[in-house]
This record gives sequence, C-alpha cells and structure tokens, in this order.
Amino acid sequence: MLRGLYLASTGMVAQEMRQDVISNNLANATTPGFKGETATVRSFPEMLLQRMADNKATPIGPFSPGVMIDGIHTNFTPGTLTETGQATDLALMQPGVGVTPAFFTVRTPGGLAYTRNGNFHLDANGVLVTAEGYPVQGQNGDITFRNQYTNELMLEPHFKVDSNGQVIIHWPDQQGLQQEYPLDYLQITTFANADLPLLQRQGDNLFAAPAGVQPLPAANVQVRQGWLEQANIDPAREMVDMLSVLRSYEANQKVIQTEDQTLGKSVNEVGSLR
Amino acid sequence: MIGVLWRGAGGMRAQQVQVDSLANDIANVNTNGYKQARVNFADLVYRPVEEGGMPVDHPPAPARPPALGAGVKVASIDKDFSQGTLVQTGDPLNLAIQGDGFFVVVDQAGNRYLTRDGNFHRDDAGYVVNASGYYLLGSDGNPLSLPPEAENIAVTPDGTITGVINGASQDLGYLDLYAVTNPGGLEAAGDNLFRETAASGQVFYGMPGAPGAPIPGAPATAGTTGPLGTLRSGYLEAANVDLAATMTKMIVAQRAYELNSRSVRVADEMWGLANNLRR
Repeated sequence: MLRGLYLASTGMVAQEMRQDVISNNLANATTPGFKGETATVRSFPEMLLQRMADNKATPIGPFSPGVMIDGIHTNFTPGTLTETGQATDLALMQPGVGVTPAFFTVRTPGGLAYTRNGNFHLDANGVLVTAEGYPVQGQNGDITFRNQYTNELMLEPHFKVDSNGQVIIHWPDQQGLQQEYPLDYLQITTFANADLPLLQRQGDNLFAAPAGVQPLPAANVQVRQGWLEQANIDPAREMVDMLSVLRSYEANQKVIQTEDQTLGKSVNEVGSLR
Repeated sequence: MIGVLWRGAGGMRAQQVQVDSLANDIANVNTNGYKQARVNFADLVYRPVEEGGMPVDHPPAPARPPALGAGVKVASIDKDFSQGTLVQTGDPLNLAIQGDGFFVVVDQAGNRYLTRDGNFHRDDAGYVVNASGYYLLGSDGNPLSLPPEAENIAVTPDGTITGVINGASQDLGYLDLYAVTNPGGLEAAGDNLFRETAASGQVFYGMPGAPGAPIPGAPATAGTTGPLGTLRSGYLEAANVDLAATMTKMIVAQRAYELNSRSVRVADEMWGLANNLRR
C-alpha cells in the first residue's frame, strides 16, 4: 500500500511537469518562430514481483513503480506566416511536407546559434541583428548595410532579400535610377534529421548545436521578406492537453486519498479489540 | 506548480504590454508624424529538469536532458518608421517628408530633437516653430527665422524657403533633413519628438533629396547615406498606424492573455488538489 502511495505521487509529479511545458507553450503563443514542446510520460521499467513463502520465491507478475518524464520533444513543424511589411522581417518557407527545418544563423557570444524568428533590426552600425543584438550571419559573416563602392551607410529599409536569400542594397541615384549592389547571401542552416532532437534551446528563440552536431547548408528554402513566422502553437490542442493534465492529476490525487484511507484502516482497525 | 503560476503570470504581463502599446497606437491614430510601435517577444532560458529533483529518464549521450522553459519576455519594443500617408492642409509651413529623414528642432534650453511632425508656423518674433514652440533648425544650424514682411511663403522639395518681399521674390532660408543609421534606436520623447541615443547611431544631414553627410565631428569613415527624403509643402504626414492590423493584434493579444490566465487557473486548481490530499 505504501508502494501505491508513491506510485500515484509519481503520476502527480509527471502531470505537473506536463503542465509546466504547456504553460511555457501558452506563454509563447505570440512569440514569432517559437516551436512548441510536448512532454511525454512513460512508466518506469517493470519489475517482476515475487512472493516469499516457505523459503522459496514464487513469481507473482510484473509491476511498474510509476511514471516518469521520458523526454520533452520540440515540434519543429512550421508556423503560419503573416505579412508585416517590414523590410527587416524575414521568414523561411520550405515547400513540401515533413522537410527538415532550416534556420537563420546568428552569432552570439557563445558561438553560432540558430533561429526561426526572422524579426530582425538594424543596429547603430547598420548591421542586421536580432532583438537581442546578435548579428545575423551571411555567407561572409555579419551583414552590414554599407555600399562597398561608396562606403555609403544605408538607411532603413533600402534593401531587399530575394527568395534565394540574397541580400541586395538598392537606392535611387541622383537621376532617379535604381542602383543595386548585391551584398551577401543569408547563411541558412539545417541539420540531419537525427540531430534535430539534440538541438539545445537557449531562450531568446535560439537553438544551439552541441558538439558533434554538424550544421549543414540548407537547400530548397525560400526566404520571404516582410513576413514573419508565427509560433506553431495550436491553442485548442494545448487547452485539451491542459484539461487532460488537470483530470489525470485529480485522478492520481484520488488514488492517493483512497490508498491513505485503506492504509488507515489496516493500521488502526485491523486487529483492534472492541 | 509555482513554475506554472509564474509562466502564466509572465505571459499575461507580456500580453498586457502588447495591449498597452496597441492602445497607445490607437490613441495616436490622428497624431501627425506618429510612428506605430511593435512589441517583440522571445522565450526565456531553459533549465534542465533534473535540477528540480523530478523523476526523468536520462537519455543516453549525446541526447540532451529534458529542459523546461521559463516562459516569455518582451524582447524589444521598436518603432515602425514606414511612411505615413500625406494629408493636404494648404498651409505652406506645413511640411511633410517623403522618404527618410527628420526635421531637427531645439527647445528653449538648446536640447535637440528629431521629428517627422512638420506642423510649423511663425511665432511673434518671426521664428519658425512647432506646436510646442520649439525652433526649427535651418541649414546653417541656427533657428530658422523669416522676415515678418515676407508674403507668399513657399517651400520647395529641396528645402529652399522662398517668399515675396516688397514685390520681389527671394530665398529666405534653407532647410536640411537629418537622418540616423538606426531610427529604431531613437528614444521617443513625447510631443512627436525623438531623442538621439547611442543605439540610434551616426547622425547625417543634408539637403532634402541629396545624400546625407556626417555631421561635423563624426569619424571620417562614416561615409554618406543614401538620399534623404524630399519635402512636400502644404502637407502633413499622418500617423502610420494601420487600424485594421492593430485591431487584429488586439484580438490576438486578448486571446493570448486569456490562454495564460487559463493556465494560471489550472495551476491553481492543481495546487488546490495537492493541498487537499489529506482532508
């Protein structure tokens, strides 16, 4: 019976952790490029119970000592794209179903990181950066909006990014003609499918690749300027999950109460003389 | 449970900031030269679950241990400096900038502000001032003043102010436009004014329609900018608030707020259940 108490309490703890994950998803329901997570629960490895009698063990059957969190898995499916009209907003579009997600590459103090959040800005030096100020990477490093012929700093938002990820500065000259200067290609990264679960979430919408995970150049990716990818959270699904968490939690609580009552009876009533 | 409560509360607070910002945009929908703001969200740090003493499966290396997110934060609030529509007023000293750039005004104490609000008029002393009485700077870096006897004042797209004095047409002054490399880094100072900050970067100035040059004292490597905007006399730039998009964002923010309040409620119910394990 004591075993039953512990068993039900692992159930409560596991459901609480599922709720932790759901609440994080809901808090980030409007975070661009956010990828939702699911906590999966599984039972502890089963053990074979044996009855000890007459100095020998008789197997009774398998028993599981409760549940634990198996893992927290990131759902990498793309979120919907919404148009913002801002030149510094970029979104990645990958045609096809079940394709490995591609990421923008960002230089952080801790090394390269990867993000689906294309909500970028220009900083004081004309460098394309994330909201935290980390430079977005092109094939040749940071993307600085400076015309390399004239050393002209470009004012927002006189650049375009074509669907291949090429960044092009453009400006009207004194005669009103459009001049263009190809600056760089965005560094768009992907990973082997098996490596995706190894990516570490850094916060700030960033993923980091641990040692041994090789970033690969992404192919067949379209960049859309003036669009942002929304979080891939499905509120209806999260609500249903949340209710199922609540009810499972409640069921486990009831089990504990029942176990406690039974335990109370056996401790206080069995063998009492009245 | 505490974690769930805080994540939910953090989510509600983030959406509250979004609603505040949207409400400010809507309140300024008729403010000349107003630029709408945008709230950007990011997720917070992730903490390995084992640190909480939770029963978790330890995956074999190199798989990462399960980590729990700590919710959401407001990563930044930036201004959208896209062009607002031009509204005709007929007053020649109402100036709208078509393209990049700002007017510079100085207050009585000499503080410099950038603004896109071109609602200027002449004060009693002949100075060109904005609605708060701050002086508009001319291209010589001094407050622009116009002779009181000047009539038929007009401003050309390149910033030349002309007028008729004693029947003769003549140039009365010149206007420059100013630009910064990163308008998003400007600090809003109220009254449609912006203040320069370290984040707004290098300041450039020049004749409207011509490339901007570094202001004196800037490092020589600063180069020039692309062309500044041109002036439209007799027009004002309206706020660039997109009401339909703002209302849509408001609905999304309200629903996201509700979602987070729901997760707080569920956490509370779970906590209640834990408290009532033993009645």
